[in-house]
Amino acid sequence: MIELVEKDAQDAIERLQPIGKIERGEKIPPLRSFLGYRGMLIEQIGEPEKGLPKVFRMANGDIFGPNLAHHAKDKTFEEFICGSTHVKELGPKYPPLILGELKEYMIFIEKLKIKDFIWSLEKPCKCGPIYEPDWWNVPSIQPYNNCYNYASNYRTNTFAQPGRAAEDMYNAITCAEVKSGAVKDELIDAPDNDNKCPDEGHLVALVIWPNWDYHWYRKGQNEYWSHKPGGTAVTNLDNDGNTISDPRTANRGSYTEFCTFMVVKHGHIKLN
Amino acid sequence: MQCVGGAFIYSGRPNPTWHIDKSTVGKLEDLWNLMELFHGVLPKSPPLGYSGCFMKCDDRKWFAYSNVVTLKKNNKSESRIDKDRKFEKLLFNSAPIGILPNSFIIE
Repeated sequence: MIELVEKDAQDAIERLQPIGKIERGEKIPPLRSFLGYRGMLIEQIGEPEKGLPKVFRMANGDIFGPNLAHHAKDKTFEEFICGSTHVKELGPKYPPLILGELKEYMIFIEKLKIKDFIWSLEKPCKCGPIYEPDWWNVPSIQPYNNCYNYASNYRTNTFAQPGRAAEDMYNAITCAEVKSGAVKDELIDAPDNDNKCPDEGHLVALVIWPNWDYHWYRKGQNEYWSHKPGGTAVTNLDNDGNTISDPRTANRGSYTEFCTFMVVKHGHIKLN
Repeated sequence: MQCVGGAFIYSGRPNPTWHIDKSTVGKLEDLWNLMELFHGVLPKSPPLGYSGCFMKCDDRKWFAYSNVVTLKKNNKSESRIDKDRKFEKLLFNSAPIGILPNSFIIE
């Protein structure tokens, strides 16, 4: 880490000014998983200068950060810094080492073609559990875990019941009673969620076969819902054989009453 | 010999089971003995809701669903045609009142 102050800092800011937005498909963003040099992280201490965020990254002459994907005014800023007295002060080996790394990175990134790159878009359900029926559908797990276990992604092998871990299980098969049991297990009621994945944890949905039974679904990382009807196998299909994008509109057989969405925060819940 | 009946029906709650009286067991065995062999693909149920019922007597277990009854014994199984679902209806209806949905009727 090196610190630039006063004139050097002003000079750097001037060189780093964004001069043109990188167009879609023009370039790939800086690689995050690459051994060796992956760019330079720049942090402005104090009030950031206009046009540049407080923290951003420079790689191969381009700058990236919040609302920032631009060419820098000085495309050789990285080489300039590597050759500066500040880097030299880190030790005699550093400037040639970093310059070498920088060249390697530039050669590599120039070779990469846009079409080869897998764009890592932020997934809306990044905390959602993955759909892995093979893990659940085995004789040692499948019969002993129900929809509540699966939806919560919490294997107990006890056919878990809402509220039982808190010694306050539901007393009737109604939305209010079953939901109340789940809340005691530390699931979070999210009635206004409207099928949107939470920032933390994952989304589940409670439905009722009035007076007879309840059922849970869970929303996965792929934004589709899956479920485990009782001791049977995990599936991602509804009773019409369709994939489930919203449990409110899925064919749920006798489970006619949609109760609520809830959020499972990983590590917070306790089931039995 | 004690025989237990049960239905695969619930998701959250454990499935209900019940004792079947000797007279009903006899009637079910009679029905089984009259059935013809079934050679097709076993019927599949939708994921949610009723997906069959069973009777377990010692090491024998019958499973009935949608016009087919399968008997399993000593790792061997045999399926027969349950015409008009007589076996399934008799078995299902042997459940005590109140443990299965009142409105639930096998058609």
